[in-house]
Amino acid sequence: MDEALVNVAHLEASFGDHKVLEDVSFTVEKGGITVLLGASGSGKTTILKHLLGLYDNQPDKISVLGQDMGQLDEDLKKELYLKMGVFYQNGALISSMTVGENIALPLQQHTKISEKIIERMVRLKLHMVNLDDSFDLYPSELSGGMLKRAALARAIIMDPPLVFCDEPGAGLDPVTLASLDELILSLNHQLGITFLIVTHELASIQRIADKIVFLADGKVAFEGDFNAAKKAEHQGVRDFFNTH
Amino acid sequence: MSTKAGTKTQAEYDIRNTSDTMIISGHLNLKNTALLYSDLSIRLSEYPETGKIVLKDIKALDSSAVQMLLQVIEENPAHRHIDLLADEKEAQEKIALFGYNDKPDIEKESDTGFFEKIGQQVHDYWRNSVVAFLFLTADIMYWTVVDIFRKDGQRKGTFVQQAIQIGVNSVYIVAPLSFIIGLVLALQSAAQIRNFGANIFIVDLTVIAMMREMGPLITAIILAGRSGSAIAAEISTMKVTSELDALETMALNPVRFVTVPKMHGGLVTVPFLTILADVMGIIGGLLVAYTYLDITPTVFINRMGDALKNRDIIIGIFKSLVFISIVVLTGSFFGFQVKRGAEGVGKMTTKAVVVAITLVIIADSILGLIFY
Repeated sequence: MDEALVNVAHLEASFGDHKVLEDVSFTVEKGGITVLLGASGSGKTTILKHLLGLYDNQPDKISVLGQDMGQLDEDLKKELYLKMGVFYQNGALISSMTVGENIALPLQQHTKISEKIIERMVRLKLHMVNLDDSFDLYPSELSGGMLKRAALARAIIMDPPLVFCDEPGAGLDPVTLASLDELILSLNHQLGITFLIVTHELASIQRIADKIVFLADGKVAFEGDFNAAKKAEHQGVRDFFNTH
Repeated sequence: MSTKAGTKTQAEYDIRNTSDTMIISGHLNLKNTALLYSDLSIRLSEYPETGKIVLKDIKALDSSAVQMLLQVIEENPAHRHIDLLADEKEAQEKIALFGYNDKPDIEKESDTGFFEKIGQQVHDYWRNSVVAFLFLTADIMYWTVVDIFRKDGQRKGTFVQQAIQIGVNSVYIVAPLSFIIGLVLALQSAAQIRNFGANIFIVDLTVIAMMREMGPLITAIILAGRSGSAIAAEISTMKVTSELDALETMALNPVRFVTVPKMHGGLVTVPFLTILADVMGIIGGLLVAYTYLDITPTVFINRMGDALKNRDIIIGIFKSLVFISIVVLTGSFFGFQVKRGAEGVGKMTTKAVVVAITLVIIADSILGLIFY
């Protein structure tokens, strides 16, 4: 069995009286692309925030890169953050900094590498996401697709083994979305980066997903590959994959 | 042959030199890239004849290490060609993958001369700031007049909303501050006036200074900080979130929709706000006159009637109209000029306040000279 970089076991979560997650268990295998999907309000963002350790009270039910998220103090959490990349839906690039400065930021803050080498690494990562000429541009000067690519370059600047993506395809046209998927696939194949992607784009899921985790009614309704999802027992899963 | 190990980090590496070859092995990754860079730089100066760097028995190799090796090769003190090679296939693939060597375009030497540059900058400033400001002023003033008579293309209730926002909500800060300014002004003057036995002239000084100068000026400065910043922040946020574009595509003029109600609200309420500031300042002066110079309120008010001319009141009100126009125009101008998201909003808000206060003081001095 493949090594799991992320392990969620019987996770529960509620907001006030409203129970969002009842009993969620799944794994993200090393070297694969796992897609997490479900209807709005099904708890995808809640799971992602748990995986990123963004809640104050972390349950002892999640491990990321071998670390139990509930047992991490601030220093260990910081160390873990350096081993993972996060891609936010709207890019979340800092508007007052150029693309180059945005991507260089984690290296400047967390390593002692000289500026010359940092610039070389930033140009390499921009080249890998096909944004060679965007080093000195500001985020406001980029198109939607370019913004996503720049955000991906920032997520992989530290060569992390694991990258979380929150709806990377949201708002992109099919052609740009396909090229973003190609990029994710090439990063997965070339660098061996493991991806956990939250997305609703069926075409994208078909292209990139090694494994699908479908959330419904606070539980994992389906876990498996694309073809198996089409024949899943759960009606909601079947409907999603067959009616789109 | 020599061996050196990077011991300052958990992940270790080895560097060995033969006559023209440097062999590196171990963990070459983000953890020790910085240390390895300084070690290699020293090694290359010690062995200037090095012609090959060979990676052997590599346990880890990431993009930072490959780019660092390329940088070291580029910087080598002997300025000779050095090959980067790897024994293992995996390391070779990593070098191929991460070995992108981009040479950013060296900035072209500008042919532009010093004076030409200055001229260009002055021209750009003139066009982008002064001319743009005058055009916007003309646009806003035109619609400010036209929209008194036309109601289409405006949102219902915005005039009242803006009048409350700019005028009524400023009462709580303008009134007490004007009172304090009037009190301090009279207090500082009282000591000097008493020396000459001209106590009664404290009334003339306080009343004329407040009505013609201090009342409109204090009100305008407070409004520049309070409303000018709010106008700039609101319009610039609307611009960065494409709300202004949305208005245009709905065939609505952003100037009419956003700015003109603020101008109307300000022009109607600020004269009253200024009169309130005048009255509060005069009350402050009256208090000092009664306390320090034994001038009773009745005497003060009688003297005030003699000292104050209609012209002083009109000049004060006229100034207040000019000042609030400047505050709204400046706030709007910098709001419309915003670029680059959140930071731009902050910058433009600051600029709007600073420029509005500067322009108000300049306008005050010009009007002071005209109505001397």
